[in-house]
This record gives sequence, structure tokens and C-alpha cells, in this order.
Amino acid sequence: MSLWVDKHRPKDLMKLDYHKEQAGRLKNLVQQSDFPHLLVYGPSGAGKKTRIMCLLRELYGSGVERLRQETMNFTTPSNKKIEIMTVSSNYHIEVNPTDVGIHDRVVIMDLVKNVAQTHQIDSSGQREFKVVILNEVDDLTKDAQHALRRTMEKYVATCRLILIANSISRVIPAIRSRCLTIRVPAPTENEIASVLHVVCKKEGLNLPSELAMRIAKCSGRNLRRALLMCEACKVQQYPFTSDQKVPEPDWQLFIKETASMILSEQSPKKLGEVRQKLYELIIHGVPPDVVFSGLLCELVKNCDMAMKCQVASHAATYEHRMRLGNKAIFHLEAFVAKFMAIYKKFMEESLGDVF
Amino acid sequence: MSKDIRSFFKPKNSQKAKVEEDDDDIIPESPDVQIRNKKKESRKKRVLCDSDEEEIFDSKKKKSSKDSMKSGTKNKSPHNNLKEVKAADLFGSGPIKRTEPLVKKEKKKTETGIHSDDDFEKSLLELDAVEELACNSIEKQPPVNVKSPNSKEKDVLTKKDTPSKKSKVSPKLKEDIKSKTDDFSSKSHTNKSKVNENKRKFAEFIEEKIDSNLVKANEENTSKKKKLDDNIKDKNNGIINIVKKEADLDDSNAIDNSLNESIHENKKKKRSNKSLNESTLTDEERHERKSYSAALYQKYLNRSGPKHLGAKEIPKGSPDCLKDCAFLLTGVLDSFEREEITEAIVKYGGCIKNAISKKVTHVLAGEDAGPAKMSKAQELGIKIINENEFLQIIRDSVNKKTNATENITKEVKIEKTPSKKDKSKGLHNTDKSDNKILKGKNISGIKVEKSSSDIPNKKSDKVKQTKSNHEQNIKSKSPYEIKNETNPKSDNIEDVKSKEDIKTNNINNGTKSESCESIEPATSTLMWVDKYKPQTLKQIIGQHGEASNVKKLCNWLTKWYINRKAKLPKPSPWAKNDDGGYYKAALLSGPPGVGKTTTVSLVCKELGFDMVEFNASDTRSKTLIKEQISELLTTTSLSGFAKGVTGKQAVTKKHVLVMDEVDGMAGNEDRGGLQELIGLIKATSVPIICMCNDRNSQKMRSLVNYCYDLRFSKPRVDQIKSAMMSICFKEGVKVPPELLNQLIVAANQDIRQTMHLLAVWAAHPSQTSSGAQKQHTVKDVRLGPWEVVRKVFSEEEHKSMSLNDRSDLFFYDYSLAPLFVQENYLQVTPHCPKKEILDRVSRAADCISLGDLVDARIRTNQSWGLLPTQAMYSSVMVGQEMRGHVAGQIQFPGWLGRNSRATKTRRLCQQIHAHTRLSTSGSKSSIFLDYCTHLRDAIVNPLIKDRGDGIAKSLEVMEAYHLLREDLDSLTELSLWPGQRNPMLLIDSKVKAAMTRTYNKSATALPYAPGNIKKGRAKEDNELGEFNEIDDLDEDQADEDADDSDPENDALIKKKKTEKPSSSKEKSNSKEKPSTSKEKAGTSKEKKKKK
Repeated sequence: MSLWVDKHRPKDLMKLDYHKEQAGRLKNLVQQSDFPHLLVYGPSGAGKKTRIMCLLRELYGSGVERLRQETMNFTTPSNKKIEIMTVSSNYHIEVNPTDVGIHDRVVIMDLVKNVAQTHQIDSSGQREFKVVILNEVDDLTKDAQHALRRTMEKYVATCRLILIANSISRVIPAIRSRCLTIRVPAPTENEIASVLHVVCKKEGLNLPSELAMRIAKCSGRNLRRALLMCEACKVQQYPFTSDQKVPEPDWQLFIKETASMILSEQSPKKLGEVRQKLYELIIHGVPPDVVFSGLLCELVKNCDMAMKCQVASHAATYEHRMRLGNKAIFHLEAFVAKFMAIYKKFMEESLGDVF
Repeated sequence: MSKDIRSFFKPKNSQKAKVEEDDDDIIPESPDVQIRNKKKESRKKRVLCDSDEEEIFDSKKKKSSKDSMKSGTKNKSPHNNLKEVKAADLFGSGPIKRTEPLVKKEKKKTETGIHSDDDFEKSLLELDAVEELACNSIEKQPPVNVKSPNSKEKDVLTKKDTPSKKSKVSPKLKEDIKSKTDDFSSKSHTNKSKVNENKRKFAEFIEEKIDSNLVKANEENTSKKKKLDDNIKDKNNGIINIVKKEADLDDSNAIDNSLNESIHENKKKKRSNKSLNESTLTDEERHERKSYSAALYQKYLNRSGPKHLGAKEIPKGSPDCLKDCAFLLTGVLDSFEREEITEAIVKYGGCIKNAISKKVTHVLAGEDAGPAKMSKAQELGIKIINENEFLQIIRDSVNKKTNATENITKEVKIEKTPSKKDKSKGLHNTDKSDNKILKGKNISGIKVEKSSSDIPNKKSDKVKQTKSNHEQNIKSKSPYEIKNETNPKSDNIEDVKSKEDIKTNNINNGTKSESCESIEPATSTLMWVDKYKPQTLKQIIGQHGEASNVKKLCNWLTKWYINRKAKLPKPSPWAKNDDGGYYKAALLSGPPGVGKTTTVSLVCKELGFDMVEFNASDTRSKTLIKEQISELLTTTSLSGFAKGVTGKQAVTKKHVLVMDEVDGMAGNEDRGGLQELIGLIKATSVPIICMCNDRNSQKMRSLVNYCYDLRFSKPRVDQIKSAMMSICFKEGVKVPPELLNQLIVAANQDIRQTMHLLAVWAAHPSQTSSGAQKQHTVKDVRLGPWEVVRKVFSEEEHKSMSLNDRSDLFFYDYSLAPLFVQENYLQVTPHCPKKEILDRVSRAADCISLGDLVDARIRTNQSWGLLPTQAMYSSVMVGQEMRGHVAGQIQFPGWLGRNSRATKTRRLCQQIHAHTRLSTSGSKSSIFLDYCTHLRDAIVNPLIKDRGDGIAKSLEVMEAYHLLREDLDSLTELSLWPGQRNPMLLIDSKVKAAMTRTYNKSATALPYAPGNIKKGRAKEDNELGEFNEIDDLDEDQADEDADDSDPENDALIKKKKTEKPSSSKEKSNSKEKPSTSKEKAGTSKEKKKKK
């Protein structure tokens, strides 16, 4: 018994719940039996992967659903052996090159070449090309992205690449220009609510629309999160009531707690305590950029407009630095320190005005 | 009244015992205490002298007891050449008056006999020769000619005290005072009559008188206030008379001295009165003060720096112009930093006090001066000056210098000896130089500034002044008056004293370098280090205490054979006062140049052990130790050794194996040496002494368990300094004390290096100015990261460090330094106004974040040339922003631990992601953020709710997501936040066990090879060690790869057999899989080969 989010995943392009127009276009694209490289991007929980799987099904039939996992081995130029888990059907192969960290370039070069250089054995009933799906392309190192450029052009006859990214800002322009970029925007809250209703109906449950909306709001337009929350709600209390408490993810609560700590007192000592909290977040695998945006959202609530801009720009600066640097905590802490300094000054000034 | 007087006496007395260096402490000792303490004191002094604390010694001491005289003579030495002996010291010694001339002769006979110390006697003999040498040296000893006529008297002087004390055994204080006052009256008469006589005789006469009076006093046993008062009045008259007469005789210097002294005394009186009052302060007052000071402290925290920093310059004064001045700084000066002023004062020979006391002569007050200090200063009558006045003092000194025709510097250094000599000779001219000196005294002692020219004029005024003072304070004054009275007369004695000082210097030389001198002619070319190598245990610097290492080693060595028979138990590692009886070997550890090797050789010499030494220059490999040394250590084969291999090291019955520099036993040459040494220690039949520098090093780890631990610490600066001073004297080199201090500090209290530095300096004293010297001779010491961090943030350190020095701190360990700085910068209390603190913290954090960018660039591009840039960002700028002091304990960087925990969770997450990949769509981070809690709940909740019945349900979820049993644990770990309760704990353990059992039984087909888990970890490890070498892993991995296909398939095949027919398409997948995957692997390998 899977969770709802996986259980009720649509498998056909035409059965998708939202962005139907886009689905139609994709269907048309595939019907011409050929398509260029794709770069699918959009926020997490928008349905990128679902769409791609539907597309492949459209392309190859139900054979693509017969997945298998296997590990592949590679050797780096420095003679280091690395291995990576791949998911593949007879028609496609999916990898997550970032799993191997800085050696992703090797994976890209070897794997894509391997696949691309192999022609289909019986080309009769099949398409002439295989599909390679690369996940998290925006986290690829620059080296790996450059390695991808040439391969994409060279083996276009035997393989198509589908790249998945959260944002294309970190995908080099050379790759962007070689792909058909497909943006999968996050579903609106209404769309999420309707999906929730559909799912609940399938499960035979009665979902009050207020609760659906609240879950949608709480999920931050992330359908996956919304469905998981909905299921959690069901576990917590059924039948649903409209004023039911929607369980927020723990890490979000934790970030909020941290933010309120920062607002409560501004001192080096407090900063030290905040540092421990930040460490905790990082240890639990919350990506530092999520921490940045989460903190900013919470902190900005207590600022006036001028300060909001200031704080946001600082947050952006430090997040940028974090991307360039090694140790996320340094930059998070620097941001918090900066905010504390600004906020304290602001508070003192406003207090000074009062008296 | 008597009570009052006693109360004056007591505090003074205790003080005297403690702080002897004080110059103007002229209060006579109370006889009771003196007698009681006599024995003890003398012993103490001997200890003191051993520990080389020479400068603390005061000339007064010599008079107080016979023993102390001895030690005093021993110790006085090099210092006196350089430092003034104040007339006040000598005048102020009360006991002189109370001496008994009768005993003189008796004592004389035993002149040498008293000194049980052979060295001393010897040195006395040598004394004359050396003295002459010393005197001839232009710089120091003018009073040569006085020596011989007065030599007798010196003896007298030395012996006077004892009898006087004996005679006064337990007189009551009152009587004492009475007797004294009697003395005065008589004395004053005698003074009048004998003014024209030779002073020496005069003094003797008085002494006799005193004695008779004393006896009388004891008999009488009556004391009335009135009488006392009368006496005092008489005495005052006497003083005036004397003064007048002596003035007639133009002995102006002497009078001046006495006047100064008397005024000083009066002041003293007042002060003590006040202190008396203070002791009776009420509690409320104290309380008030407390609250007041709390408010002041707030003010202090917020006070600013100097307003016109650098507006003025410190003028050049004559060297030592502030000698005898003790300054107390308070408040913020207008144009100087406190450090600058301190430096200037020290440069000109003054000293700085931290708290206000009688010794403080000037209070240098700035803005926001501490009111407590000021008021106390006023109470004590200390002169309060401001910055300008201070500068004027220094300037004046130069003016005076130019006025004086004679070279004053010399004069000043020779202390007051020449002037006194003149006096005793009856030279009536008050030459300018004398005036000068006196003036200097005035400034320091009585705080009355006089221009050098008008001393004589003011004299008469002063006489009046003293008179009035006396009359005012008559009642409680008597003891001091006594002294004042006799001061002029004690000039002679002082003369003798000064001469004696010279002698003691020489004696000191003699004793110290006794053995060296015998070799000296032959070894004049020796390095100082060898030349002045300690010859006896006592000469080792800083090893004199009862608990010193030398003592411990001696004990250990003497008891060694006894202890072997005794079979002592192993002491607990933290037992105190362990004499090491259990251990067969001793390990001496300590920094280089503190005297470890010297100690061992001297101890062995002293105890009659023969040393068999092996040091780093000998090969000490396993075989060598086994064959040669162990042969040597087993008594049976000793004779062979003695005759054989190394004939030089003739081995006697008692011998010691000394393994010097054991931490050098490493490398190919000495392979296995340490292990063998430990074996040797276990089986040895002779004591073994090992020496090393760093006891905590990895190499020493095993050895320390078998050794008696003796740790040598660096000797204190003053300990080294005194020893160096004596060496300098012997070499005839004159080193300014502050330079010596610098040298010692620069050498990091390394005695050996200090001596080398001194030798170099002595070779070209002119070439290297003190400033340049300082820069050149700083010894490089390796610092640990903890000290480095402290330095990075300490404002004090910054002052003496250039930018380069500060960035060098980063390079002590450039990989750890940024982490240490980042971990600890929040603990620093920056020295700045409170509202700025957060600003500074944020700027520091900003620098750290920039430093991280540079670090990333360095690591990814191997551009190590950027390290200095990183040093700036990660260390120097942070330190600059946060300069202050580290408030808490310095922590080890938490980043390292946190980072490894983060990688662990990442790894777990990747595993789960890989396992659930077929059924989920999200990326890795979606596992963290969304799935893991829900997945965990989906599995765990049925178990909590339905217990045994829920097992099937939860297993169903696990199957759907292809999770392993281990993944459940990882899931809980990932989803657990601090402060949350682990839901796994809520599951009944029976249910849990049942679940695990069922899972194992019903294990379904997995789409992946479960063996991957381990491999996954191995992979991760590789990833972690990105920068590490991977050679070692390669072999293992290759093996693994070879086995890869088989276990993987096996696992799957097995699974298939147990597989339930119910599972849907997953099953078919897995059926297909083995073959295809094999094919895949095969084809891919082939492809590779083709390429």
C-alpha cells in the first residue's frame, strides 16, 4: 500500500489534472514520433517527473513502466572507482549524476556515451532512439555541464536527453539553447485543492473544501507535500473537520523557531545559539537555500518596507556566497549576524523616536 | 597610647617582611616580632638566596640578623652595581642604635667562623683581589680608598644586631619606647658636645649610651606619658641644635638628608594614622562605597580613549631620571595611551604600581580618574600630578643633566656612595653633583620639587618645618623621631655599608663562579653556556624548592635500590606527592634550555652515580639497545662492558642509564628502539633516566606509562634574570635590565638561548640598539591552534604585532585556523562600546563568509597562492573587528563534527532515495523535506495503534516502497528533530521483534541488490575522502567488483524462491532483471574494452 501521492499518480498524459494545454502540446510533440532534447524545469512538487513518465509512456507504450534498478561502475581519471544507481526500462535510463558529487562529469561522459553509442537491436517496432533522463541538472558541476554539450549534439540520432531541473538559472546557456525548455509551473492552490478532492473521492473520503484550501495554502503550492499532508490529516483525524489542524513539516517549524529566536534577542550569545539551530537544520538535510528563504520569510514579517529591501538584498548576497563557497553555515551565520545588527539598530532608533 | 604605637608597628612589620624592595620603608622593626621571627627569618632568607631572588634583598636585612647578613652578602651582588642603594635604606635601619659594642671583639674573632659555608669563606679570601679589579673599573667603584680604614667597622656592623636583640629579649613595648626616648635625650646631648668629632666614633659612643640606657630602662620599668612627651621635646630641641651646629660645619648634605628623612617620617606618620582610622571604617560606609563603585564601573566601561592621542611627545630625559619613583596611573590621559606612558616610565627607571599604597610616590591622574584612588592618594599624601607635570619631570632631568658638570649618569648609578664618602672625609664643599643627587631624592622621597640651586636656601625653612611638624605630632611620634635623630650619625655606617655592598658583590661572584674561575684562564674562549654551566645542584636555575624536580630526582635515585626490594604497588595516576618509588625509570620532560640534562648530570654526580648516556647522536635501534645496553644493565655482564666495547665509559657499581632526547628515537635508524627501551625498563637492574621535550607527543605515549613523570617548566623571567646578571657582571658586561628582560622573553625563557643572545649582545653592544635587538631575537615558538586563536583576538597581542605577524597566525595551521576562528569569534568580548558590538560581529561574520569563498576557490582550483588572502579574511580581519579578549574557553571547531553528521544523514537519505526510487518521483531533497516523516508514520503508526495486527499493514508499506528493515531506522533518524520523541520507542518491543521476524520470513523481491548497502557506504567513504589518497581503497574495490555479480545474483535468486506470488508487476521485473543486468554489464564492459 503506497502513500496516496504515489498511489494516485496519473499515468497518462491526458489524465493529468492541471496544465492540460501543455499536456496536449506534449502529446502532439510525441505523435510526430520524434522530439528534441528536453529541459523540464519547475519547482519541486509541480509534476515534472510525472509528466515525463507520461510522455515516455505515450512514446513507447506501457513497456517503460517495467522499471529495474541497477548499479553502474565508472572509473575516474584519477583512477577512483565510482558507482551509481540507475533506473531503467528497455527504452530509457534515468540517472542522478549528482549522487557521485564532484565526479558527475565522468558519469555523464561514460554513461551517455554508452547509451548513445548503442543502437537498438530490433529497430522494427521501436523508436530509433533511447531516452536518457538526467535528474537535478542544475546541481551538476560546470565541468559536467560542459561535458554534456558535445554529447548532446553528437549522439542526437541515437538518444534523446531529458534534463530535469528546479531552475534553469544554474544551467549553462549552451545547454539551454540545445534543448526545448518546458516549464512546469507549480499548481495553483485551487488546482491543488481540486486534486485533493479527486484523490479523496478515489479513497472514498469526504474532504471539506475549506480544509482542502488550507492544506493547499500550507503546502506552498507543492502538490506532493499537499497530498502527504492530506494523508497525514486523515491519519490524525477522520472524518475531516474544516477547522482541523494541518500538520506542518517539522523543519518548517524549526526554521520558524529559529527566526523567532533571532527576533527575540540580538546579541553575540544569541547568535551562538542560533548557530546551533542552523547546524541542526543542515544536519537534517534541509538544503541551505531553503533555510535562507524560510528564515527570510519569517524575519521580514517584523520589518518595515525599507528594512525589508535591505534584509532581502543581504539574504540574496549571502545566499549567492553560499553557492560559491564550501561551508553553508558560515554564510547563514553571516546573514543572521547582519540581520541582528540591522534589526537592533532599527529597534533602537524606533525606540529612540518613541521617547 | 601604647596601644596606638603598637598598632603602628604591627602593620609596618609585616610589610617589611613581605616587601623588602621598598625604598622608603624606614620603620624600625618592633623588637618582639624581630626576636620571635629571628630564627625563622634567617632560614627563609637562605632559601630566598638559593632561589636567586636577589633583587628583593635589601640592605636593611643585613643588619637584622647574622644569617641574613651572610645571605645578603651572597646575594647582593650584581644588582647593586646598577641600582642605587638609597640613603634612606641605610639611615632607616633602627636596630643599629640598639646595639651593644661589648660583644664586638668576641665576634670579630669568629669572623670567618660564623660562615659555615665553605664557599663563602673562600670567596671572602678572593674578595680583595676581585674587589680591587672591580674598583678599578672606571664605572663603578670610586670609594676604594675608604675601604681599608673602615673594614673593621664593617665587622662591627655585621655583628651588632645579635647582641642587641639578645639584650632586649621580651621587653614590653612601652618600656622599649621609654628607653628609646631616654636614648634620645642623651644622644642629643652627646651630639651637641661632639659635633666636631669624627662621626664614626660618635656613633659608637651613642651605641654604648643606648645600651646603658636600655639596661636602665629595663630596670626602671616605669613609663608615663608626660615623661615621654618631655623627652620627645628634649629630643626635638636636640635635633634642632644638631642641625644648627652641623649647618655651621657646612655639612649641608648630611643635614639635608636628615631633614628629608624627618619630613618623610612625618608624612609616614600621618599616613599610618590614616590607615589606622581606616581600619575602623564602619560597615555602612563600606556598603556605600560598594554601590558607588558599581556605578563607577559602568562609567569605566564606557569611557573613551585619549582625546588628543599623539598630540604630545614624551620628552627625552636622562636615563634613570625616574628612578625611585613609583607611579600609579589612573583615568584616561589626555594625549597618551596608558601603554605609552608605562613604557616611558619603565624606560626611565621608574616603576608602575597597580594599586595605591605607600610605596607609590606619584599618582598620574587623567580624565575620569578613579575617585577611590584619588582620595586614597590624598589621604596618603601622595603627590597627584597630571600629564604635563609628568612630562616636566622628565624634561627637568635633562636640564639638570646639562647643568651638572660631572657626568651625572655615572654618579647616579653609583648610588649615593660617593657623596657620603665625601662627607665622611670632611669635604665641606657641596658640589653640584651632590646637590643633584639629593634633589633626585627629594623628588622621589618627599615630593618637594626643588631646583638644584636653592637647596641651601631652603634648608633653613625646612628646619622650621620639621620643627613644627614634630611639635604637632609629638605624642605618637617617638619611634620615628628616634630614627631621624640618628640618621645624620649613621652616615658613617652607611659608608661602611656601601663598601660592604661592593664586597658582597665580589663575594657573590666568588661563590657563583668559584669553580669556573679555576678553569677560566684555559677556557676563556668557551661559550658562555659552557663556561657558566652550573657546577652544583644549587646553581641550577629555578630548581630549589622542596618540590622541585631536582629534589624529586634525588629522592627517587637514592631510594631506587630500596624501592626495588620493597615492591611497591603502582600508584594511581592522579596521586599527589608520588615519589615515583614504583617506577624503574624517570622521564624528564620540558622545553629546551631549562636544564634537564644539566640536572641529571649534576644529580648523578652528587649522588655518586656513573652516567652512561645515549643521546640522539647515538644509534639507538632495537638491536643496539638489546645487545649493548641491556648487557650493560644486567650486572652479570658489566665487567665485559667495562673492558670491552666502550672503554671510556668505565662502569662502576652504581650507574645510571641516561637516554637523552628519547623523542628523537624515531626514523629508520632507531626503529623499534622505544619498544626495546620499554622492555629494558621492565627488566632493568639500574635506574634509567629518559629525557624528552614533548611528553604528550604520540611517540612518547607508550613510554610514559613506565616512567616516573618529572615535568620541567620554564623558569620565571626574574629567576633567569638574576642569574644572567651575575654572569654579565663576571664578564664585565653591562646590560640594561630592561634589555635583559627583553632578551629573556624573546628567548621564551630558554636559559641556553638567553645566554647565547647575551653573548652576542656583549660582543657588539653598541651595534644593536635595544629596539632592533628585540626585533631580531624573538624566538619562533610553535603554537597550538588554541593559543593561536587567543592571540588572534587579543587586543594586547595586536599592539606588538605587525600585519604580517597576524597573518602568520593563520599559517600555524591554515586548514584548521578558519574553523577555529569561526567557532570562537562569538565568545570574544570586543573592546568597544556596547552598541557597536553587534555591528562588529556582523562585520566579522561577513569576513568569515568571504574567507570561505576564497577557501572554496583554493580547494577547487588548487590555487594555493590565494592562502594569504584567505588569511586576511578568515583570521586577520576577523581578529581586527573583534579585538578584545576571549571571555570563555576556546572550543574545538564544531563544524567538523556537524559536517560528518550531515554527510551521514545525506548518505542515509541517498540510500532511501535509491531504494524508493521506483515508486517515488521526487529528488533527494524531497525525501528529506516531505517523504521521510510521512513514510515513517505510515510504517510506525499501525504498529503503535494495532500492535501485532498492524504488522501486516506496515510491512505492506515497506514492501510498496522497497524498504529494508534498516531503512526504517534511517528514516526515524532522519525525521527526528531535537526535542521530539522517538516514535520507535512507543512501539512495544515484542511487536517490534515480531515485525522484524515477519519481515525476515516474508522478505519480498527487491528491485535492487541488497548487498548494495555496504557498497553504498564504501562509495560514500570514497566521496568523503575526496582529497585523500585512494590507492588503498582501489584494491578492495577491485575485489568487490570481481565478486560483484555473484552475490548480487545469489541474493536475488534466493529472494525469488521465498517470494510470494501475490506481488504484482514488481515480480516480473525482478524475474527479468538478473539476465538483463548481466547482459548490460557485459556489454558495457565489452564496449569499454573496445575503446
